[in-house]
Amino acid sequence: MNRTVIVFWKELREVLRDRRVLFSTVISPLLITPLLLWGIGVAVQQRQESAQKQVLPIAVVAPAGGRELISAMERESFVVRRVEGRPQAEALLRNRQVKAAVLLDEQFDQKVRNEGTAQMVVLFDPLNDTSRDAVTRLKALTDALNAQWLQQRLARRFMGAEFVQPIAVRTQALQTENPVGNLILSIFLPYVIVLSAFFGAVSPAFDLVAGEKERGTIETLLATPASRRQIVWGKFLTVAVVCLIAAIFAMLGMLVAFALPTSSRVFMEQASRFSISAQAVGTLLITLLPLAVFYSATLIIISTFARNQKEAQTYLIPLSSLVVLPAVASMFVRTESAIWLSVVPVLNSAIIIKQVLTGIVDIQFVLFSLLVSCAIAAITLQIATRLFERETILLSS
Amino acid sequence: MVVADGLSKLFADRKRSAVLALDEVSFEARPGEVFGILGVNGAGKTTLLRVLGTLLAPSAGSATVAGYDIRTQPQHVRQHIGYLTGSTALYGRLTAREVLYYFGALYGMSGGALRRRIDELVQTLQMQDFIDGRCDRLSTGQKQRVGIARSIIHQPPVMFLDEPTAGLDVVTSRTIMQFIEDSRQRGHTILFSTHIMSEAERLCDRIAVIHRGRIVTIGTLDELRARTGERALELVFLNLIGEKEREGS
Repeated sequence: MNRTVIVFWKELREVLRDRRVLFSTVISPLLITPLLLWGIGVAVQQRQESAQKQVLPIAVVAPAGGRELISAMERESFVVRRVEGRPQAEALLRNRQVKAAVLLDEQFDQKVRNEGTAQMVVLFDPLNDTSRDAVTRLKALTDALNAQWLQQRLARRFMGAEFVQPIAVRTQALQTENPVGNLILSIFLPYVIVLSAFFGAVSPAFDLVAGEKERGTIETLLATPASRRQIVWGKFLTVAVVCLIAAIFAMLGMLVAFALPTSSRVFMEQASRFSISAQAVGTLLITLLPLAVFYSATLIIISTFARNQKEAQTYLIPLSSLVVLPAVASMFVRTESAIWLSVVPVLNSAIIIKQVLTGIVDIQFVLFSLLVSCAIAAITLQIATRLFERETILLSS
Repeated sequence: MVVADGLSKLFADRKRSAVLALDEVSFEARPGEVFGILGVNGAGKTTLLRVLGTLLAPSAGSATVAGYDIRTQPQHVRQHIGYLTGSTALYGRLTAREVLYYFGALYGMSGGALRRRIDELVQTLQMQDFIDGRCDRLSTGQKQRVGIARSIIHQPPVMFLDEPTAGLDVVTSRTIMQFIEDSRQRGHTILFSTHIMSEAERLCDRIAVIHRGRIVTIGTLDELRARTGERALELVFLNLIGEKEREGS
């Protein structure tokens, strides 16, 4: 058996027995991610429900009537506290004794009766969630009243609602192969995949070279007939496999999370309806291959350069931002991105994943990105190999 | 057989100027002989074994190990040496048997031959009780026995032992000493680096005293005693390196 393969199998066996690796690559994405999103979903749902049902105190300044409006408010779970003027209303709002203050026009009833436009000002505290909820509910209430009173005004003139709506707009989503839920996946999944692949590979990469130097086992390994190239390639392959495993389990974890109805409400109702074809999975894996090579080779370079795992962790801190920033950027860039983004490592892979999930695949972008990723992967792997072949690897142990 | 001819090793050092770790080292170690390399810490013992083991490239000079040139046939050299250091570190998440399989495979062994060789080593080194236990749960003595088995799994004709008893207790050290004596009886060439005089006195057929990268002298214990007029090896050693220090100043 080739010595690279021997090193690879031994390292993979050892890495898969490492609880830290198992936790970060399998248990965390499969259990903790769905549980976390489910928990957030439950919390958001409860928050929305309580915002609808909660009885909210509001101050109302109504110099001239507004009785019908105030009755409607009281029916919608507002506790109305009538006050004399704006200063008193503002004071109550500042002291959080009320959640909003409504200031009605001095001729409110008269203007409504005369089919004019009466003014209503709503004061609220922008830093207070409940105050913002009160505004939302007051707007919904006045929208309903507006529609009702408009209908009455039109009826008095023997007119229908069409009179005030020359164009009725209806939007209809096209039935595509990919359901709408894939849009939400295309925002979050590339981010999760490219980050999980990187951080899943950190622990084994540092353990396999810097850890081996630290423990003092590298000298006896280098004294075997295995060449340094064979040794580093065996280690590199192990890290690349763990990197892919981490990415795949991160993807599965997110899919499980999105399949839970409560979690999907965090984002939108349609999120629970998504699908990924076998072809899309194939393209995702092809995209991940050069990314895994790039990540693994880069981490092996750090691990080879460092004297121990602690030192490697120190070098990791600035490097992480080079992965995190493109990953975060992938959430905001458009699916149909400019071709120049294909030369940005990590981001180009994330955009391909985005395109695959939405079915908007730009072949030119994909091919150019893969070409760039493969070139970068080959260069980093070559640097990692050269570095490992240097004598300093032994002297720095 | 190990033959070194004018071996030198120069390390580039950014902080200090270049460090000459080995300075024209020449000697010959024969089969069935324990050839001691005696020196203080930093004298160049480990560098010498690393250069001969092809872990480091020499800056000048040449050497052959088991008939193979260290410059042109490094893989053959490594195939024919057993390398044992004072470190008892093993792969913690593998069992002792898996470690032996791993190194056996790296030395080109496989199948029934490898299984039989491991069984033989388990018997010889009395590892029956812990051979299938994970290495991170073994005692220091047990780890050192696995380390010995790992270094001789491919039955190498040449052994490089770099301070193999450093940091070990008396009982474990005895296992190593016994192992060295057994290897000599089997006709292996053994390069044994140490700074412990009693070990050198007990085991070495010939001793090379190394100081600041240079071989000060080579000879049997009796020859070194005659050269210095001292009886105890410790005094012999101090006399030799003191002489060298005076030459240097």
